Amino acid sequence: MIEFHLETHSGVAPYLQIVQQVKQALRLGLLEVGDQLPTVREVVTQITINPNTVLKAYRELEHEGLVVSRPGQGTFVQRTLAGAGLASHAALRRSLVRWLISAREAGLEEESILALFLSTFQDIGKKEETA
Amino acid sequence: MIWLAWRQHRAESFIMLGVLVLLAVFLTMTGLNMAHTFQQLGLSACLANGHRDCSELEDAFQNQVRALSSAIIWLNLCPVLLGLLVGAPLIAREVEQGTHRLAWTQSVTRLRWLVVKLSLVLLTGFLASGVLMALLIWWYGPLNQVQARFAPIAFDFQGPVLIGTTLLALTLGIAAGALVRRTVLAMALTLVLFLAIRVPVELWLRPHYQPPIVATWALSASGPQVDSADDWIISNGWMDAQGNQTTNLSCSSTQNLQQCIQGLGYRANFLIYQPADRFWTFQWIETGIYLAFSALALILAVWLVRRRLT
Amino acid sequence: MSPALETTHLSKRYGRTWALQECELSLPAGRVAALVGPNGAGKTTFLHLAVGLLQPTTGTIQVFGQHPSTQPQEILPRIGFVAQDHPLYRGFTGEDMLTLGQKLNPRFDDRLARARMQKLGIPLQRRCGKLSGGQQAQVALVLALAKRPDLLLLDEPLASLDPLARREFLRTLMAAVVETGLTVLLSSHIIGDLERVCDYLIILSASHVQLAGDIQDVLRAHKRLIGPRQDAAALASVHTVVETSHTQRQTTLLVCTNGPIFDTSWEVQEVSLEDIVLAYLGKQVTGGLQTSPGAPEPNGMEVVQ
Repeated sequence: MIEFHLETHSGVAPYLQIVQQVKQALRLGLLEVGDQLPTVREVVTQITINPNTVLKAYRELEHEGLVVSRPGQGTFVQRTLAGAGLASHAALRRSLVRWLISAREAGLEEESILALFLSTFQDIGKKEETA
Repeated sequence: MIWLAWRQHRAESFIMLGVLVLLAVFLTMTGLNMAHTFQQLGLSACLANGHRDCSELEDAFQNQVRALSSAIIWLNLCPVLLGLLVGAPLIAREVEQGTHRLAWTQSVTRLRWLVVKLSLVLLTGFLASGVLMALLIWWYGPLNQVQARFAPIAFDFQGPVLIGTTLLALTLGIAAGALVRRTVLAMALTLVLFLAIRVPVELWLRPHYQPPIVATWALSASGPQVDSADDWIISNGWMDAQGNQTTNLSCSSTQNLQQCIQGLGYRANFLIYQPADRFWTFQWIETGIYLAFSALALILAVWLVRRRLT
Repeated sequence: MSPALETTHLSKRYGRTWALQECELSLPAGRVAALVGPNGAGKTTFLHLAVGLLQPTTGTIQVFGQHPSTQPQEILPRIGFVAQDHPLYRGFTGEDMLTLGQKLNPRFDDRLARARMQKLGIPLQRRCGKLSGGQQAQVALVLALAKRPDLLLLDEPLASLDPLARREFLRTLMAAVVETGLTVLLSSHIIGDLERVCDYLIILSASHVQLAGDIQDVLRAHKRLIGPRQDAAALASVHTVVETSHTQRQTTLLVCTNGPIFDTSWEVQEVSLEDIVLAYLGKQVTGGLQTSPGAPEPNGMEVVQ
């Protein structure tokens, strides 16, 4: 059974943290198709959190097609996120190496590369949220 | 709600019961003692035989029980203490400690809360003072034969007036508590208000519930048939030709009394008194006065709790 | 569904001072709402008005459609209240407090109360005055919850509690919310604890309701705009500027947006809930803002002046 935790001051909305932790568990194989997510009551007992937040997170996951809620029974995993396949990993890795070489040639230092990557990553993340 | 009122005043009730028991024991013991002395001196036999002059025995008796008959005045503290210790904190402590925010937000209205508490406290006060009154009437038995029960201290104890003063003290305390919302301040206010009513009523109003009988007679003549052991002698003395009255004489004991009196210009005796048959009328009038004030205090308390308190 | 709590032009005066002025609020049922404001802002006054301990000077306050101070018999059984410093009768034992609850409340669930007290490890035979602060707060909460209220009002419930006691208190509260779906309104002058537990925010400052709305809507609507130093009049005509600060080169605005920001000279950032609250508390306004879900504007914002 997955256990949630909440970072109060992380700047990430509580319901998103739940969503992310479920997705992480799916990726790592801790949750498999057919597993039941903890009930709202169980989550509220584990971490002191507003039950509506849990409901919202589960609805979001259902909207993304990852889980399905069966009335009277609970919420169950429907689809897994485990890896898009090694092949796409290898292709992504190669384009990443090419990008890093370009960045080095442009004169960026390690920290600048990291800063550029993180800020772009976060911007994209926010655009996805508000979409 | 009745449970809550009882539970909150449980300790108080036991203390009051204890004090009442102690008083009962004290009164019983001293009362029996007094009655015994009364018998022993032959005073009861003397008075039973209507013709003899018992004044010597009466004086002897009064001397023997003087300490007791004057100490009994302290029982006037009972209503006051009840008002201070039970009445004043009733609402004041609840608000002072903030527990009214708990008591008034359950499912019981403020009015019901107040009515139940008031009923419990006033009923207990009524019963306790009633018991005390009954004991005192019995206790005063022998004394009533030698002094008027109509006279000030005895009057306070031997009828519904005792219940009236008790209820007055309680209701004044409760109203004071609702007004100032602090226990100690409420106690002080209760004392002030109680005395402000009690003292004028006893000293200045009581002699005039019904117009007192004023008798004047010439120095040589004999006065009205008044029994100092029954009727309430308010004042007596001498009067001069102009109508000026005095109760003191500046005569030395060696002089001839009659000559001295006439020498000072006094021509007549006067006597202001209330006859004994008015005793119960006066009791009920005075009780009515105290109950009227009590009712006003209660109305004020209820109004304050319902409308003004936070 | 009718709102759990609704106020119209609610005002309360003590002598010459106005504790609350023209407060408009509509709290939907089922929310866990935080009433935030500085000390002395009128939070306690507001809660006391809601539970019928006070009467409004002008305006009305209604709980599930009833007036608490004039119709106490109807509405008091449905409201649970824990006052500031969680008052209990210090000479009463826990057992006595439960009896009090049972005698004074028709819907009191004694079995539930005992089960909760046992789970929390609170000895029923000890006098309440001898319990720790955290335990007293829990007893007061258990008492209020066992009444099976539809609306629970808590006045600064966490103020005198240590962090562990705070967490325990909120856990008990959340468990009750899950089980019964009751509406909760709790006041606090610290916002940190409340973010994970509350989904509705009411900001009370300078005796007015400055902001009221779902926390998600509030977070979505408020943005921080950073740009070159300028007078933000054009922006202010479309959106509501909550806070402005200028340096020599830069202007920073905290804005409640009324639609997207089209001016690309501004860098747009998210704002934390704490910063939003602080901005409103520092504001000098006589009006207020309210977010109402389902309103026609894209962000669901409604300016209440």
